[in-house]
Amino acid sequence: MTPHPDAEALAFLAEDLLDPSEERTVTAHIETCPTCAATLDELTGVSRVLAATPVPELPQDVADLLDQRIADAARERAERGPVTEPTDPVPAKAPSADATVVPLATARRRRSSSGMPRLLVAAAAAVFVVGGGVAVVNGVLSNGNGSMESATPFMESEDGVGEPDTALTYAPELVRSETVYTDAALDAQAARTLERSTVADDAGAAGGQTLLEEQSVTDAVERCSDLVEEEFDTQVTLVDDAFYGDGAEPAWVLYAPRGDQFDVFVVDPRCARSADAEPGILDRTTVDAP
Amino acid sequence: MDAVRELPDKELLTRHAQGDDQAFGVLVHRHRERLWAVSVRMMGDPEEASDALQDAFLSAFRAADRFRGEAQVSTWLHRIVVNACHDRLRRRKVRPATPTEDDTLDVMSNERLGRLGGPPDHASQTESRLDVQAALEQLPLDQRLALTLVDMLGYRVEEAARILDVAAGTVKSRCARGRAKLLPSLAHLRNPQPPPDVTSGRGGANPS
Repeated sequence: MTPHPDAEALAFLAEDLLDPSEERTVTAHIETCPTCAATLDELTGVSRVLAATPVPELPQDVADLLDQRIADAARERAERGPVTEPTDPVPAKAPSADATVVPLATARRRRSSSGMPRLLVAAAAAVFVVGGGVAVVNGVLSNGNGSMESATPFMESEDGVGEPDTALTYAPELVRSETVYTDAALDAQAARTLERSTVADDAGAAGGQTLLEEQSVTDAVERCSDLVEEEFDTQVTLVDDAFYGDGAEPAWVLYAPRGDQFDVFVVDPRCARSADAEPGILDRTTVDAP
Repeated sequence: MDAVRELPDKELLTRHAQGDDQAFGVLVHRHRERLWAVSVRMMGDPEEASDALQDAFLSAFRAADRFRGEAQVSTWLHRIVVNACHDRLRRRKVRPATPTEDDTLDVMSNERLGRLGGPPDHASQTESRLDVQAALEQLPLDQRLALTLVDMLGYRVEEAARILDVAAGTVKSRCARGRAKLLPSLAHLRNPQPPPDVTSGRGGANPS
């Protein structure tokens, strides 16, 4: 008698997934082996047990929450008036892009204040480098028109448009240092960028260096930074639209103060549209505030 | 409103896209129980399942005008939920490790199962349900999800494949592996009496 096939082989047999020769062998074995024949039965039993198990019930509080979120969304939409959504240039064959977009959008919390003395001050700053630089560069110049493609028009229309001056009012400061950040030199590079920015008080003056020019923040940058803020429970005060790694890929470097330091996050700019891309943190560190 | 409730999914989605402020809610009510089941199975935690489901429904709300009608609305919604869950799971991975992640998962699952228990039930039935949940938790996500769709929710393999965006054969092999892994922990629950609905459209689960 051939050796007993394992349970997986039997399960594959039941699904007709074995190749023909294997199937012959296993079938022949079962005919002479009551144990394996019983196991095969039990596998069907597993499906029966699963089918007979009630699915988890939707808790009432979750049901209420869903109703509320949808009612809110409906009201928001009604307030915006008749929607003239831009037609997506990309055939929406897969809903995947849509699904992944949302967490970013929901993360839109607003800071009060800002604009001015970003003295967020005293403390430490964290830097986040965000990937997706290409989108950013274009986005900065054109304010997203046509440059973000695919998933983004949808997001823009839903979230960005119609909120004038978001950049001035709530967003982190955006600069373009042209730095190619690397893992090895990240700390030094982050420290230098901080020195050249205005996020830490009198930093620029002290170093006698040229201050980086402040750019207007795009929705995409803001979304990424919101996302990072939500994930790490922090506040991004500075974003450097720069590059990262050996390939000098576009990346966003986000700085968030924490105590006497800044957390630094290097992020793929694609995080603004996520979709299939891993909205990953490419690198992170913590440096002392200047 | 009553009339709206009778409308087919696609019509509801169309009306929603045209500005009807009731249609989407009706659609959600129609599918939310099953979508909740999918979300809970994927996330393994009611809080996160709730967050993912909110993500998904809001996403669907906004993307309704991009639904092209090649798929069933139900399949489309499931895909959005699955993707929203995947997205959250990915983000969970980049988050710095916290003690609430893997270390305490076993502890949490008891609590969680209690909360998911639903209405009072026969003791034995409750017990076996808890056993099944605990056993499912041991499976890799892919297998757990395939079995949830095919064996628990009764979707045809082809439909599960569309939801998961994989080949039908992949769904079958994930199910097969999952069943083989569940065998030791569920053997004692094996019910010699087939449930009444065993023939109703569960063809995908069994060789035909």
